Amino acid sequence: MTPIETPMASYPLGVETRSDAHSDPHSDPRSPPVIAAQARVDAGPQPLTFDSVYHSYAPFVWRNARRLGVSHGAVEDVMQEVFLVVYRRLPDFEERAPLTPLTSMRAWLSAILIRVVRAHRRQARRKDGAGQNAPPSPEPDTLIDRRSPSPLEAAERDEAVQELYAILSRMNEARREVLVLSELEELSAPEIAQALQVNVNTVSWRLRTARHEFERMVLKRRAVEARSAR
Amino acid sequence: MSELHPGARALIDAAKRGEASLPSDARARVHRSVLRRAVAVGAAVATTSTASAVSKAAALVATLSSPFAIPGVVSVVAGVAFLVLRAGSVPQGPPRPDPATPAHSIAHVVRSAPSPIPPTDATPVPPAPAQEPAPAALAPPLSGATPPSKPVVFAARLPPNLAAQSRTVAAAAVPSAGPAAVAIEPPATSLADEPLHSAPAATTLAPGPRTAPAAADLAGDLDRLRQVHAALRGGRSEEALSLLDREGKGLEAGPLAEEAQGGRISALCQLGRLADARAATARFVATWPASPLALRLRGGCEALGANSKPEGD
Repeated sequence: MTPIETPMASYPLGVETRSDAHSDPHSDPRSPPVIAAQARVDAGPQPLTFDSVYHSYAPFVWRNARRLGVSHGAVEDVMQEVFLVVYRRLPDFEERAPLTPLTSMRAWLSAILIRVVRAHRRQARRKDGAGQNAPPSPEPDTLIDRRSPSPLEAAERDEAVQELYAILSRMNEARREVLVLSELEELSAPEIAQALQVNVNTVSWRLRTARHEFERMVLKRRAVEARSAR
Repeated sequence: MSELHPGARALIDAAKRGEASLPSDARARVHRSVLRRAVAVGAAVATTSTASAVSKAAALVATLSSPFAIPGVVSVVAGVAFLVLRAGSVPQGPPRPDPATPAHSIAHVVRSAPSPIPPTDATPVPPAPAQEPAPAALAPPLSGATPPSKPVVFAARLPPNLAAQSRTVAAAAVPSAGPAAVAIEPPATSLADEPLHSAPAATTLAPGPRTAPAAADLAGDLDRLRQVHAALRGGRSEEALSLLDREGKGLEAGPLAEEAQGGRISALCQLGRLADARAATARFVATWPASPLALRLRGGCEALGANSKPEGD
């Protein structure tokens, strides 16, 4: 896979302010208790290992990559990119964490994820543009949807999930990001500001417009459903 | 907190309940791939690191329990563990105090970029050119204030009863491992606030003579595997297969054997050689029954194709 450019220097750093391992309804119950204990860093700056971060936050990165529009076939690639950055930058995160106590691990990971997803999208667009005249290459990703759905995909056929993803996919990218972090992950405005590298006022404004856009799209779908049910 | 319209909020709540969670095989696969790519970067600059140690360590750690209990993952962690990229002195990662787990750990210190610090031993180590373009390019464009390389510390947590075992086996594995430094963590102490670099020096072993070729082997294997996967992704199954045939002996007998075999099966599937693929799968599953890849392979060519691309890149 072609490497994705990910500007690193601007990633916000900070300490975890809440424990995903406990507050997260998606966290894998099978992750070992050792890891959950390691991820509980709200008591103070404790050393983090790559493995503990990975196993505590892989579900977080996974689901938000999907929400941000990464296809099922590409989500593992995106996760790899995100965690390669984590692997390299974790010592920095730990070192600088006490200096920026407002940020959380989730904000830091969101910052990385968002940059990787944007780069991924740019790359996909370039590939689409360049590949218009070329014969279609049998990318494994493109084979996926022609086959029977995996259990995961079947689960994702959950109607509400489908609808949510469909609406998110049609939203403006910047507004989608802020909506996902705020309404789905419930990050605070300062955390979102750190994740997106914008100021809090921008977050508030963007969030207002994002909510408006999202609501409008939901209502529109409801209206269409009601009309077709008649 | 939300100011969303109730209908929109209801949709979000319902969707959150219905969303699929990360499947465990994908979790293990990505973890392994990240470590592998991290190792690849390390291997590229590890002119004096020890790959005989890598395979030994893989065997060693694979026999030990790990929080993830997947031999493949453990092997990679072991590989990382023993790839120490500078001859001579290697700083030990600080002990990881973890009140919940009074377990011992093997601390693995890996440098992910050529170190600007001259080795403290008499052996000068010229920085090797990056042989792995993709991961190297992923290296963050570091700002001026950031040191160019930092050790990344892995701590493979072991239950106390296994920790003793690991001490023994690690000690046995190390003497032939050349300049690898194996730091067995002491039981947790209160060193949490110490920055990585100021940690006390690790147990340091004298550099051995047979280290560089082995490291080169691992780097070469990774490189060959990457070529195979690139061919597979590009739909050039014949090329992938011929690469595997040509390099097969070394690759499929080395620490990346699992991935190489997986690549071969993918190629056979892509070529429609289903009987061959089935036979190879049977061999694979017999050899590595607990491999995360085995789970996918058991589903046959269709499951393999449906499950995106081959491992390890």
